[in-house]
Amino acid sequence: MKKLSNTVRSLLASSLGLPGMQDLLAQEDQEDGLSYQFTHYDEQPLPRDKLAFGSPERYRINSQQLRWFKNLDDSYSLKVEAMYEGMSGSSPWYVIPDPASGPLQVMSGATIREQRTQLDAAVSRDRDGFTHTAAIGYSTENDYQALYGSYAGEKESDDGMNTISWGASYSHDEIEPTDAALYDRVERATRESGSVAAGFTRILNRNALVQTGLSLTRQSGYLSDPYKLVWVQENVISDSRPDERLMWTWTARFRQYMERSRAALQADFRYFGDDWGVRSETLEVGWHQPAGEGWEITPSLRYYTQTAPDFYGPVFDTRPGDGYWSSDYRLATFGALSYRLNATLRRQEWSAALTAEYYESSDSLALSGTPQDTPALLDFWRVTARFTFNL
Amino acid sequence: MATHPLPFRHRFGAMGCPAEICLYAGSRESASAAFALVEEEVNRLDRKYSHYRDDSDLASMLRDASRPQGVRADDETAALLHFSDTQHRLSEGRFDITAERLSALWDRRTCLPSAGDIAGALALTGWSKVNWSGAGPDGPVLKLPAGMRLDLGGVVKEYAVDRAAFLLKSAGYAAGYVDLGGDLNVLGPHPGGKPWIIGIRNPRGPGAIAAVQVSRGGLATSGDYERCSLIGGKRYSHLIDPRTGWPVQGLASVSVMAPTCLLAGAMSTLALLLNPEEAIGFLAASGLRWLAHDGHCSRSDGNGMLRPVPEPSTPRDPRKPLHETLHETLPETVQPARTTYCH
Repeated sequence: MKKLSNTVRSLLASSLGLPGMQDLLAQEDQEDGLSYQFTHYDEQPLPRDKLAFGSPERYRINSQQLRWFKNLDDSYSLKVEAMYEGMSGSSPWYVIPDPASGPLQVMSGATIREQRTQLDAAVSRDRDGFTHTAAIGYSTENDYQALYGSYAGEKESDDGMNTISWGASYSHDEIEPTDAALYDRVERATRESGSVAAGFTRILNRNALVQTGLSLTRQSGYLSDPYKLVWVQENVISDSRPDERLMWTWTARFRQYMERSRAALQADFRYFGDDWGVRSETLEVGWHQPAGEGWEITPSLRYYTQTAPDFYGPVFDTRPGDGYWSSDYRLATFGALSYRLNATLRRQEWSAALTAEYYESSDSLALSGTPQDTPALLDFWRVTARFTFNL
Repeated sequence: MATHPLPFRHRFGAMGCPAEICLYAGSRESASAAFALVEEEVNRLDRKYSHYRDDSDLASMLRDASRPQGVRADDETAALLHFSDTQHRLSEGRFDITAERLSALWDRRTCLPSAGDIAGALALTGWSKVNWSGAGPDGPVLKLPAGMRLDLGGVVKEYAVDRAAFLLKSAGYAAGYVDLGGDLNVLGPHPGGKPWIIGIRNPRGPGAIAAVQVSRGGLATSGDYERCSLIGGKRYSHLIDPRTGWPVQGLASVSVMAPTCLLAGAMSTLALLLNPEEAIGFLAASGLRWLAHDGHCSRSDGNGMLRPVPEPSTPRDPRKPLHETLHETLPETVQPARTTYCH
């Protein structure tokens, strides 16, 4: 859609008080727009009683994202995104046993400073009930490059009540760890990831919608973390994971619009498994409440639980026979809760959104599996501000 | 396996013009229920807002609005008045729902009204003379000078089209359209995604000047041919400039596509109230799709959606009412064999 004149916008805004008018407009095409987003992500310092040595300060990331959306004509649209982020802090390096207090975390001593730049472009075609989207992207930082592409399709049924979707993506990643010779890290490695997905959305009635989807991802190549070490039988040696991984997810989403309060309930569930033995479940519930004058307030709560693969341990007293070991806290058995509050203000020409999120994770929040006293489990704050201008 | 929805068509008369609904439904019964729903809603709005009827809610509201304390408007009426107020403001006074006396004065005349008649009607015209508080402490209150009347016909028909579309969408219908006298809301394209083809009637002769593809949203046409007066061989529009009391000398017809029929109708009406050059500039800047006809030739936004056709492909059936809209031929199951014209 071309840029609408102020006259059209004023008329549109003044018609919204009429019953039913907002619902009729809800299905309108996306307007041309430019949006800027700033995110500040701040991991809480590692508690002193879990730190063996190194810096307790963990990552702080500031990222800026610019997104441009343009309808080229009736069926084609273009989306271009650029992102730049700067990261600083220390990262968990390896874990050492301490008979008195349990495993202790060794952090990298020096502050890591990294910049990452990402560029994405996507073209969509929406015609005859079919939507096709092709996208490519490139991400670069001093030790990691990724080039990726994807295709996604969507078809609405004749009566508009059902939508099926499908897609595939591929990514080629190259890793060149810094100080490889100094720390005996792999000098150069590659990683390939391919994934396929299918989904189905059904409108149950005028106020409710369900969506379900399956995806399958296969990774091969160097899947270990070159910057992490593992305590194995009194030695500290490189993180070692299988060089193939097959992952599957199942998602189910539900939306219910409440006519009386004009609010919407959102409930999302996700199951994840892989052939390394990782299992996870995520449940997220949110409440989208319009508050008048273009405001919408959305509180949401998310619960996540994960069980570790066989080759995870904070420390290994004996050397595993298969040659795989990792003490990366992200593979541990743990549970996490996150609390999020979003406020969005929509005006004719622009919209603004502010989101604050607090995330806490711990062994004791895990729903199943055996927690193994992972010292590096983290808590973080994330604040996001976004401005969108309709062009 | 789900049964393929079948197309059904229903024609009726409402608000003084021919009306039509085309709808893909699972059965004739469900289609009939949907048609009844729409007719009921359109009739409700007609009963409520008709300025031709003395028993309409509007008529009784206008009687009460002349009292010193005014009258409290219900939410729907308040929202319509708010929308009309916006149109008045945006048109710098050219659009005025209080111009009812002037419209009545110029309606289908054979001779020019006297200067005294025009001055008399002008005295009872002017939205600025109305005391309208859309959000007062006691809710929306309307106070009218004695003798002033309101004509919401310029917005209610388009609003009724949108209301009908909203009710059909809420009832789960996704493919079809509602057409009230040439103002449409398209719920969604034919099953499979093919858009509906809607004809725009020629304001100066038989047939259509354009075939328009519409997949969803509103399409409205305003023209100087409705209720116009031919006086001494000169055509006078039914649209009166409330600032002068004389008919507007503007374009012959303007069609606009917009997200809703109400919006499309407002934009086509505002364009028709401007002189032709201003109107073309106004439409070109709108960002919407449009087609304008100045009585001789047509101009459009040029992006192909409103594609003028030089000659009408089918001659007009003389038995048909003057108002014409050309729609795409429906499959044999419901298509009346006689014509591709609907009304």
